[in-house]
Amino acid sequence: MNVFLRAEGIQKRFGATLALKEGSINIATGRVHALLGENGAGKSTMMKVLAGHHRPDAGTVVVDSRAVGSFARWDTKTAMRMGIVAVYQELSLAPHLSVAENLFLGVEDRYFSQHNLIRPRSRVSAAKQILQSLDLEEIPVEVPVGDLSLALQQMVEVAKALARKPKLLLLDEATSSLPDEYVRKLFAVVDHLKKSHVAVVFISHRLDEIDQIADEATVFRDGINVGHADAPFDRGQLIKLMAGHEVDREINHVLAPAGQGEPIVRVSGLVLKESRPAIDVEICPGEIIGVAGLEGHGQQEFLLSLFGAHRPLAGRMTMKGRIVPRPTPWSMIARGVVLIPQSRKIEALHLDLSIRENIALMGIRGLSRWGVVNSRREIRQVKSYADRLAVRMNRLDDLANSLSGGNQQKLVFAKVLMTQPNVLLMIDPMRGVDVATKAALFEEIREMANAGRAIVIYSSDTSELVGVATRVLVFYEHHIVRTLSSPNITNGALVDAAFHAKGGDSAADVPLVTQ
Amino acid sequence: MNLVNRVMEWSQRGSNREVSIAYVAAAVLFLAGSAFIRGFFGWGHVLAIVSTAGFVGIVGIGQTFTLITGGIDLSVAYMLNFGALLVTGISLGSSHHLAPALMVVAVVAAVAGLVNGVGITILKIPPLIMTLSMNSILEGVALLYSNGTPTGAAPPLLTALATGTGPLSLPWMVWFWAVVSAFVLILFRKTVFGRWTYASGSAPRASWLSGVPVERVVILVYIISALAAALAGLLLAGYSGQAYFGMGDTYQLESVAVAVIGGTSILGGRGSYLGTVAGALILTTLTSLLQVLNVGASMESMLYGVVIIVMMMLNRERQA
Amino acid sequence: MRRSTPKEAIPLRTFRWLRNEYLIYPILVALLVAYLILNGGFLSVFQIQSLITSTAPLILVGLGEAVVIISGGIDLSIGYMVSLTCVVVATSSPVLGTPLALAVGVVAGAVNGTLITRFRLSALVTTLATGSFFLGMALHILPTPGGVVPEWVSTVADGNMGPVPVAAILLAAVVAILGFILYRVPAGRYLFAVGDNLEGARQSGVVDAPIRIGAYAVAGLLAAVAGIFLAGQTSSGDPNIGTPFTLNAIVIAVLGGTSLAGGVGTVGGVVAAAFVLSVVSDIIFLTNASSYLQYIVSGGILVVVLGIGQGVRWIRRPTGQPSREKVADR
Repeated sequence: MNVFLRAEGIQKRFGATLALKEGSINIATGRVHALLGENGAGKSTMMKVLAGHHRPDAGTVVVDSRAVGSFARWDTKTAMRMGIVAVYQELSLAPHLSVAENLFLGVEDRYFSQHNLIRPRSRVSAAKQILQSLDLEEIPVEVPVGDLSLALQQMVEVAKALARKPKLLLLDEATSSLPDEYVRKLFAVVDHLKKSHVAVVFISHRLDEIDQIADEATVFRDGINVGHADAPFDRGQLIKLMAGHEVDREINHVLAPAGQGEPIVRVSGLVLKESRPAIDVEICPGEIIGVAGLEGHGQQEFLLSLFGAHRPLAGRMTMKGRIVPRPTPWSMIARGVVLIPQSRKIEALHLDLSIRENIALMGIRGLSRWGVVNSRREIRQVKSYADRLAVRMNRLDDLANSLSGGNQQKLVFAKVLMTQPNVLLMIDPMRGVDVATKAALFEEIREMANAGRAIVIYSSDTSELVGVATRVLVFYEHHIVRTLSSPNITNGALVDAAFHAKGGDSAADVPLVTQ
Repeated sequence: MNLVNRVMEWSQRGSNREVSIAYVAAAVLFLAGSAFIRGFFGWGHVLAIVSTAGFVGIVGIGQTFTLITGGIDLSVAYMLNFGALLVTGISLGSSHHLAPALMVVAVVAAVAGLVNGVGITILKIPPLIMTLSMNSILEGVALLYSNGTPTGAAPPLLTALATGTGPLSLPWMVWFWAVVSAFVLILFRKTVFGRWTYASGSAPRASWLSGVPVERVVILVYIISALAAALAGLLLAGYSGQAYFGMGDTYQLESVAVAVIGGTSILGGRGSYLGTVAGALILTTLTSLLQVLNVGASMESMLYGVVIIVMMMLNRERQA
Repeated sequence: MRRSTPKEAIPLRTFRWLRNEYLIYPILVALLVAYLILNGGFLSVFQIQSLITSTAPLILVGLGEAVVIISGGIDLSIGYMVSLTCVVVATSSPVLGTPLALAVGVVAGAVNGTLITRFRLSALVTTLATGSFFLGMALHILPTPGGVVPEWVSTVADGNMGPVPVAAILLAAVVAILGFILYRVPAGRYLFAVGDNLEGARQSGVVDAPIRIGAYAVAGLLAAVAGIFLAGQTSSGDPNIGTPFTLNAIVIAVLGGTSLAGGVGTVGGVVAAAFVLSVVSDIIFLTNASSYLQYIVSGGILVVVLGIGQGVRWIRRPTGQPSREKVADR
């Protein structure tokens, strides 16, 4: 086996937190290397160090059997020159520049420039060539990247990395926003790279993907390399390594009781897109309703509509028999309907406000009289919810920013639970959450359902719904094409239902342009 | 000892650090001036500085909270000026006509603030552009109103408020500013509206999805800012006995300066009026120092620039 | 491909129009027609010449501001840099004055850029502060209008070569050079990328600091050219001449389609927007309206133009939801 990169004793500190204590990894050419670990284990930091995005505080890196002497000049450009290229979760694209311009940003000189000047026409043809080689002809090269759907932007991101002709490609949760068919295309690319002796490092929380594609795996915990395994993997062992203790693998085995009694929310005639059939749904107490489907087929809009954060073309919502006139998040929260939105950073949390302010924000109206906040009651309540969800923190006055990703998600749960909602809507609540936290949060959800609350959960990872949901609404083209109820909810059935409506149509049906 | 410990602990927490630094800087500046300049030190001078700081401090109310919502209000200069022009023009130097004049000023300021707020939230015009444009519009309206030559005089009541001495032989201005500050601190620290203001500035979409009426909050903050600027205009008219064009010009930079010096983050979500009060004290002490040293307006202008940048760097260091 | 069918692509395109990237051209044409009618149906060569020479400084500062805004920043000191360089020309020796003023502009801009990028300070407050500094310097050098401006500077700023103003030739050169840099040199593309997605550009291996500092330096340079122009046109130095240019530069840049969020802007739009502003002021002059209206127009024009676009969007928008667009980097 040919080692391309060897890193040892990598240390990286951010302020008070030591993100990497002793990161080490051996990366071989022509192999797919999975980097595993819970949130905050340091795997993303490790990757960013290797890609030159962070300068390590200590450690050694050997690339192509040449040691990197000093890290003083270690940056993205240097790493790129050595053939190390990374694709991050957050996109690095410039939304107002065209696809072609983005693909070659920073490497124009390798492709089409003469005397260091840009020739727009050869840029376009070079871009087309690259996309074609990745089986992505459907992406228009002269359109601003920002007009493409999130999934396609992610693919452009991958193409952009390949335009840099990497010898080592680092993929950080590159599949988390991709629908299945693009995951397949990405894996085909990875296979191809393997054959041409490119090393690939792959971070993902989806163990199925790891099984499918990785040749070997390194596990990080608390900033330290705690173990290594070769394919085929023993899942139990990997999870044990990640968590540091035994975790129940089948986290979702106890079903909540199916909903009973009068529906809390009734939606009728909901139209999300022109000339699509209307949606009629009843949400009953104690129910856990799953929402599934291919990305961008109206699931998010459906949940946002229930929360008053999206205005559908038509439709009526009644709660406890009364019509809700013009729903807004403000009025829906007062009615006991809350939402956990998709993006933690932008939509769910105030990272530069304190933990206390974050948790209290949604229920602040209930903690005040004449507009004045009762601080003592506020602190008591915030504390009790933080404890209930086992948020790991120092002080309530610390910034939300100081918490790890999983703990931040717990904060989001504490915030919505503090309003004591009757209906809890969730969009991808487990995205980027580690296994242990996931189990705890699902437990919380199940408890809520047992207490007679209604829950609607959309997950882009359909397997999360299996064993949790009592009923699953499958979306296609902005309407419901199938409703599955337990015990018929299986991964296979869900995927089948999501694709079924497509009939003979091929991949070209996936929306290219977002609104 | 317990109190000292608690103060020490408080000053270490989050953004309180910047506030504490600002107060220490104000004290150091005053003591430095006292050490080198004869006659600088003295209770009378302290009171003079505090009451002068009140003017920029009151304009700074609006600036602090528009900054916290992630915006900025650059229309304070001519809001202040127009307020002063209106009060002198309508009351014509008579305290009997002060009440109607106050009403008119309040309504005009509220409308200007409302337009700013609506432009920024609903029409999505960037705050910088909206308020800079509003400043120019108010300048034009003020010129049209007075036809270029201000008339009237400030009512004696305003003059008394701005220059007179009240109970405990403290200037009325100091009392007034203290009351206004207390009100502002309670409004933004202890109320739901205050929480919403910080939340809206820190992450608008997350706030909206948490049931915060972001647009209404932001509009209200701009109305408060316009009212505060107009209030400062009234006081300034009382101080100088009349209104004139350009009387608000320096307050545009200075109001931003006092907020930033006091640790308010230009990126929104962080800051407090307590810091702005300290910022106002620093700036006024500095001005008073420069005036004693007689360096001239051009030097003052240059030094203001330097001070703002130095304070920003200091605060940046602390945050990192 | 379903959603990119022509029928559904239309709202997207109208939306673009309302982003006033192209809206500025019909506005300019309409205003020119109005101007022509008010002027009795004809324009003399002299009028056209003076329109161009009086617009020249506006175009220069507008372009400078646009470059900074595209890079994701803002420059509130640009008017004071105009004042400062104007004063420098009028008080230095005839030979050295102009190069010195240009150097002062570049250095002032580079100082702005360095403070903002190296020390990671807010562009808005930093340039507000440096603006105060530059104004103080200008007042220190020349407290009241005066000084001597070399003859040839006045010729360049105000003279004509045949029917063509010298200023027009100079402007054409500036526009051509700037356009070439923005669209054909990789650094020009990096300018857009840095403004559009700074973190992303860094990850792509673009070294952002020189690009951003360069943007402020270019703004300083163009402000200096504008300052020299104004010195030439008035044949004197004036420490307060640049004050209105800060608002005007921003108005022109944004009116010309530059997005305050960064990453978007065109040279043509900015030039057209500068002409819009000066034609409007000529129209106010022609109609004998109160000159105070000028203030209301400079303030109102951008609010109205931006307001119309967003207002239409607001009416068609779902509930009162704050936009997801990123806030301008201040």
